[in-house]
Amino acid sequence: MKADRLEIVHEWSLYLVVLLPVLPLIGTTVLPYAAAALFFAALMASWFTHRAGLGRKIPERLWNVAVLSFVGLGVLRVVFTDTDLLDTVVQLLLILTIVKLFGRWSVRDELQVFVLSLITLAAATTLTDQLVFGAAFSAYVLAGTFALAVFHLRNEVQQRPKISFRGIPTLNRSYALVLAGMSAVVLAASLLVFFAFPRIGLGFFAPKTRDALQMTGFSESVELGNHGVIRDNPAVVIRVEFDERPKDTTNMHWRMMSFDNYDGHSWSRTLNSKQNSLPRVEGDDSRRVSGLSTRQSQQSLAQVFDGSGKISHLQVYLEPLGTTLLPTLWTSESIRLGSESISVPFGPRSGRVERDKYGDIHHTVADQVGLIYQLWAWETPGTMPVDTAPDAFLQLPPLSERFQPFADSIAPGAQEPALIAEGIKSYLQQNYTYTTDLPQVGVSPIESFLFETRRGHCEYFATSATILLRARGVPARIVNGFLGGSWNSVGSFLAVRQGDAHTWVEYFDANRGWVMIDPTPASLLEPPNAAVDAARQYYDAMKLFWTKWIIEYDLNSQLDVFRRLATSFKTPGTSQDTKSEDDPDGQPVPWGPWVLALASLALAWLFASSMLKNRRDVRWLALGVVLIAIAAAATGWAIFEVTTATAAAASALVGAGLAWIRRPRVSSIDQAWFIVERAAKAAGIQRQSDEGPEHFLDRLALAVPTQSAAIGTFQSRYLAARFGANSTQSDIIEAAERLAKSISAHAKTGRQ
Amino acid sequence: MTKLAAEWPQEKPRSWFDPPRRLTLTLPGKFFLGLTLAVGLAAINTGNNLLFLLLGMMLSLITVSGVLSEAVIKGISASRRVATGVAGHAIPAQISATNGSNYASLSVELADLEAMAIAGPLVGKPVGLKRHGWWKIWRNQNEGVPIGSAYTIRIDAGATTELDASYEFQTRGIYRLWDFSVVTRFPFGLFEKSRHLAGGLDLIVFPRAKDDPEWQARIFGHFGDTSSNRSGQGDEFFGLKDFREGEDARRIHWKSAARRGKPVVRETERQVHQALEIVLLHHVPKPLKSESLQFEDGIERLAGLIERLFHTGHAVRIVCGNQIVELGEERSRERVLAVLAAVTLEDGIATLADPSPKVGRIVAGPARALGNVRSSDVLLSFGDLHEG
Repeated sequence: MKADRLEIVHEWSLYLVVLLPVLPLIGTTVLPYAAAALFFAALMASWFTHRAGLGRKIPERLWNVAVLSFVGLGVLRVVFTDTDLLDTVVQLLLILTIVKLFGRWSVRDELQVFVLSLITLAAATTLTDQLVFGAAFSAYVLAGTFALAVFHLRNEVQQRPKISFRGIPTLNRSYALVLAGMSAVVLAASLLVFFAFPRIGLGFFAPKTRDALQMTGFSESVELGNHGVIRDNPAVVIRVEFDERPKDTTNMHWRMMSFDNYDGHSWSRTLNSKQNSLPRVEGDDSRRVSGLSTRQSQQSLAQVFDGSGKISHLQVYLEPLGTTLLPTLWTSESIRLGSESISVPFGPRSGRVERDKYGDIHHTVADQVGLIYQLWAWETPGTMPVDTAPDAFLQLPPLSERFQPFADSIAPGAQEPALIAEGIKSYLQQNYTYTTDLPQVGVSPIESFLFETRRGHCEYFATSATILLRARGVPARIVNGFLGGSWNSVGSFLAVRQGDAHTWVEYFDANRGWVMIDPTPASLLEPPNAAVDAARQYYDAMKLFWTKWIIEYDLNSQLDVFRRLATSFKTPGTSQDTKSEDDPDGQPVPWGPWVLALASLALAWLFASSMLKNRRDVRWLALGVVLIAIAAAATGWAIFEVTTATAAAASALVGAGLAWIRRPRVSSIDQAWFIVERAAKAAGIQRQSDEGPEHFLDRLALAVPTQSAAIGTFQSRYLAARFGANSTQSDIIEAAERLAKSISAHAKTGRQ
Repeated sequence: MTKLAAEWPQEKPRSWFDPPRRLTLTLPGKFFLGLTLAVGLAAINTGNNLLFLLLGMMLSLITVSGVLSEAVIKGISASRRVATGVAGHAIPAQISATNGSNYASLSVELADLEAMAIAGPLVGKPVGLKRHGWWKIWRNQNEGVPIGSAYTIRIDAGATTELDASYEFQTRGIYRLWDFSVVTRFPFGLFEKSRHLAGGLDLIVFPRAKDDPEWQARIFGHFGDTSSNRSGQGDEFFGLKDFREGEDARRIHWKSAARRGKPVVRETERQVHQALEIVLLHHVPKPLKSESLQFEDGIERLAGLIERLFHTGHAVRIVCGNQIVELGEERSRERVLAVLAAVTLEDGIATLADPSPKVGRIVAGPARALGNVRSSDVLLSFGDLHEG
């Protein structure tokens, strides 16, 4: 490679380094597609103007004016619109990068381009945590290392005195290979440092809470009557790892939320349900030291579900859903938040599991974060054993006269709830068709479905079955959740997608409790294209790896890795579960530190002999040996300590203090909600714990009719900001405050 | 009291706390370190794993940089040959570097970073690159430039590379080149790491030769000139010979050197003239600062005169305190100029011995030192007072 080719390599690598941190930002609020196109156009223009030497012809004053104008505009946007400050800062970084690329005439200019690209990458970490960032980051490490080395080489060639060179300096193939190899080493070392660097977040200025960047969304209401095509949303919401691959995953029902009240169009919850914490599993093996458990408790679901057969263990990774409802497999035996590792119960990821009167399972962790938890599930699902069912589960919407005779005509003569339920299920499955292409329905969607269209999706089948059961005097309810999922053979896990959202039925049998039936017939939808499916599987597997080992990698995971490392040093045959003669308490003998110490001493000896052989300075030899000895002792001590409960207890004590500092902060949207909720409560309209925001605000509008329009506006804004794509939230607090004032004024007038 | 040349250590002394490798931050290194600290702080504060990932990359770059730069300089040994030179002029040198390791060393610089003036006006003062501790990131880590350096992109495993270098001193004197080092900024240019190489070397830097037509007119007018043709310094070409250490680099015949692949110098015809004695007085009671400046100027004018005298074939004897270079000594020009390189103006009373017979005498020195000199000598005063 000749010297001019060194220049070309440098040019390409510099542009690559600029481009890579920008890729994860495309399509975000920082860089919408149009802005991204402009950025790339500017990038290309700078390439050609620089090569043609035209950059100097652009007056510097023009750049200054452009940058200052953008800064002024940015300030105005931040102050007067809902533009995020960070977005504006990153946009400014991109503008500066472009300006520098146009006007780079010295090493210092190019150095500034490198610095800007690094800052952009750092900023991107706060704006996205998607897999594309991981890909861009890996590419950046490889390209950036190479680019930095080429940049150095080029500067040396340019800046060293000419007398130093005999002939043209070259960047030959072997040199380039060395640089490429070095990039790979840096990438590997980066990952090593990433996994080994202590994950102790101080949280002095910001909480360690990951926002729900990708709110996959789970609807807390069921509304019928819409028509059109339901799209199969491939976004994965739940990933499940099994100890043993299950034989059949298609019939797995991931239960989330049940409803009692149907008004003819939509389902809601009317029971004022209080959530109760679930008891610990008897003999829970979470370690306890000085009253502080070192991982979160395994909580029993015996009060909720029963079942039979073998119990299998599942590790569940839940994407942020924007709800505290926890998907539980029908039927599960127990549950534990966190992974199968030492888990310190503090910080934003800590919490407990509770149940409400419907038997729905909730968690108390901030609902905007993704969650990891474990389930122990029965091999043969059972029921939800309860003694009675409230009358609310017999409520019927206004129906036409022909409905009751129709209900009575299905499974005529059957008296047992199970026989009636089976009869209805068979009838619906045999006489009705599943479709995602919803036809137009009449005033009563259910009656249109049953008597006219005879086509619909799971909500129609489940609602119809529930209403028919109720009409026959059997308490019943619909349940929202997910069904099945697809097995990812690449990552060996079950991927449940948003498109797997499903609704089914639970009916009450006085002898068995709530029994699940699924009246929806099998879908006749075509399976996805094999190539697309394979690509999806690879993508999902990578995403699980990314979530599990990068995004969710925390102190707990780190301690677990160290613990496993230490365990690998243990004497064969000793384990935590078996007691040995050496260790009557069942604690493993910590051979790890000793092995490590011996290895370190061997290293010290090698170092010393190498130094002596090379006749190096004895003082440095001594210092080196002492340092290695200290390092060995410290490492041994650290490994020993983290394997004992003492370290975990100390971590817990420190963490408990930090928990307060790192408590989850309330977003402005939540804040707005709380303002309205508080005002409503003060006015005597209290939100029920099982009541969704939409239903609550509807009820509030009815209770405060003078403000129904304002409440309606707030409702649409809140729902759009909270669950929709429109995250506009600049003046939502002000709107909430105005509304709260009006509600208070209305309440005061009412009292007078 | 100033140390004698022999009392200076051959290598730059190293304290117990000085590490075996010297590390300084470059400008990109400063940016990078600052960003690493900022990212580290942000990662620890927020617990954002992606920032930890970035921090991992930056720490890895620093670590890999340290390991590779060590690998680059570890096996390098080198020696250099430096010609005697003149202050303010480039002094050519050759550095021979050998890579004793089993892998190639990339982007290597060999440099004499610092020298100590052991004689001459700067005696006791270091010259060259002044380096500050890496922790002083608020200032330039390297102040000044190395005295001489050579750079190569690659030295193969086990190979020896000859590198051309250029040295430069601004002031006459005798310098001890005691910090010969192998330096690298490989692989990313974030840090500059250097390893000291053994091999202290003394280098004489002659004073600049300043032409003073008035002095030369007086000398040639007083002593006259005769000539004969011999090999030596003159205007006419006499022949070519190999360049030897200590010879004036300005006499290298570059075309012939390029053709032969080694430096050769041009010999010229020498014109033999009358023998002259130059007595340099360098003592005055409590020298003034202005006298020191005049002394430096006088030394340069005297060097110009001596160059002229040698050029015209005169035999020159110099007496400067205890230092005497006799007539006809081998390489007498260099030895005479070396006396001029090392002399300093000192506090005291100048004394003058009786003149040698048959030798014309020129007495040079500060104006105050020439007070009691006989009128038959030619006096060259380093100042404005009663010259001549």
